[in-house]
Amino acid sequence: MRKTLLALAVFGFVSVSGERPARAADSFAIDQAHTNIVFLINHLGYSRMIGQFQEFEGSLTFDEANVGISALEIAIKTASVDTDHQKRDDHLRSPDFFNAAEFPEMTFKSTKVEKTGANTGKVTGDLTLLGATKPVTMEVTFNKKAAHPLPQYNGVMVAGFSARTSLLRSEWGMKTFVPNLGDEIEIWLEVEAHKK
Amino acid sequence: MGELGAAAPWLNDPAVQVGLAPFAVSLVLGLLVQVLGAARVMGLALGAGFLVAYVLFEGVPDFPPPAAKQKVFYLAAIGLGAGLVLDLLNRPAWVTRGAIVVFPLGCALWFAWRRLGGGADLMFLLTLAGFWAGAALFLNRLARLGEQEGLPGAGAVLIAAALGAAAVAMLGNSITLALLAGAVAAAAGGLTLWSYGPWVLKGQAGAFGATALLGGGGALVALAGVMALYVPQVSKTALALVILTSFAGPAARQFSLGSGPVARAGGPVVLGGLAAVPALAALGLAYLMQEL
Repeated sequence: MRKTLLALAVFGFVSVSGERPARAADSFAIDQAHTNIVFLINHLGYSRMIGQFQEFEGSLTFDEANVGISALEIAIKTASVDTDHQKRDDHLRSPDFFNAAEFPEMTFKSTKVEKTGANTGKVTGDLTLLGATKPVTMEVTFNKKAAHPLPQYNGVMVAGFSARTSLLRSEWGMKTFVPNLGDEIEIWLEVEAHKK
Repeated sequence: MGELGAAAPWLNDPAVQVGLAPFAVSLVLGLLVQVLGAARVMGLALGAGFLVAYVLFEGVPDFPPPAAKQKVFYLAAIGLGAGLVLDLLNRPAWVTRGAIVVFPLGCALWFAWRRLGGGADLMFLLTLAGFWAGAALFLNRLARLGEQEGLPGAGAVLIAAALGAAAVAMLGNSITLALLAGAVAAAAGGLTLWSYGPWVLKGQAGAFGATALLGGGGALVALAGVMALYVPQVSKTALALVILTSFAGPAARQFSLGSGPVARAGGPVVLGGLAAVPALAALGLAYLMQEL
């Protein structure tokens, strides 16, 4: 009882003073079924070819009130590259591009998260691709966080984000056909994550 | 390529990078080495031609290189340097024979060390062992060809082997490795063409020594290692068939061409033609495997 009173007193003080007790960010697991990791690359100047990765896993911690303590980690199976063309996908898996047999995974691990607007931010992190690790910054829009409306999801809390970035693939050693095949790759992430 | 490619856009053409450039570098360097009277290191032209092609096509890889394909550049440079030292020091034959075993072993271990540390599966280990044995056999046969048939004969066989490996890589969805194997063929072509005239006229054309063996043959072996270990769609059986190109010497001895300039002119042609048979068989098998 004394403990409860003490807790109430502390809570009351904090509420009156307008401060909140520090709390840990919520942990989320990326929902593969509703997440897309998409890339676009200039094809000989004619068009931008679109591809995506079908297999990945990742987690994030997110605190709307204190975005700075948020974090993101994703591991992508490079062999799951998919451009809707089997022969091209086989080529993309070869050492000419993603070198999937030697480097089965590419990873992104955030190192810094900054808030830039009401629902926007920057996520900087290390992208490891083809054995090389270099920093990348993504522009992120926080779309929504709410309990899933469909009954089969049992009210799980879902957070949704859209992220955009671009990088020069040659900086990671992926130089095949540069500059005829674009060096710059645009990357889109559309992410839904379920609270653990 | 970066700034160089921007200054001279034609250098961005892969046909120039892995075809014309290594051929020209090898031809010109062959001439220079001959003029400087260093015929025993004629192979310098071959190894240098490949390295120039690699830099034009892929750029200088980071060091330490993370990927096996990037390690090929440094392995080719090490092979060239080691070969030069062996030839300049007039090494005894057993040292070169030792290098023939050690060089592919070094390639295999460097390519595979990460997988070996992380628990490689049996198939990977078997492929690794097969690569080592096949590469050592190929280099050993190529060394004998160089000793018995001279530079143009060994060069013709190396051209056939490199083109065979290039075709197998191309059908295995690795265009970069195919073009780099093509660069070995182009560099071997430049040196072989340069040495052909003196060979026909005088019966001497510089040595296919350790420099050519480890600088040119070593580059091809390293490329084959990447194909075997890290390109699942490359037919390993077809790649093994390419090794048979190096057995063209005994087959060529069935055709008695006699001696003299005419015989010497025909020798490399016959050797190259015979070496082309297993190279074409490798191409056919790789095509069939791709279709299945």
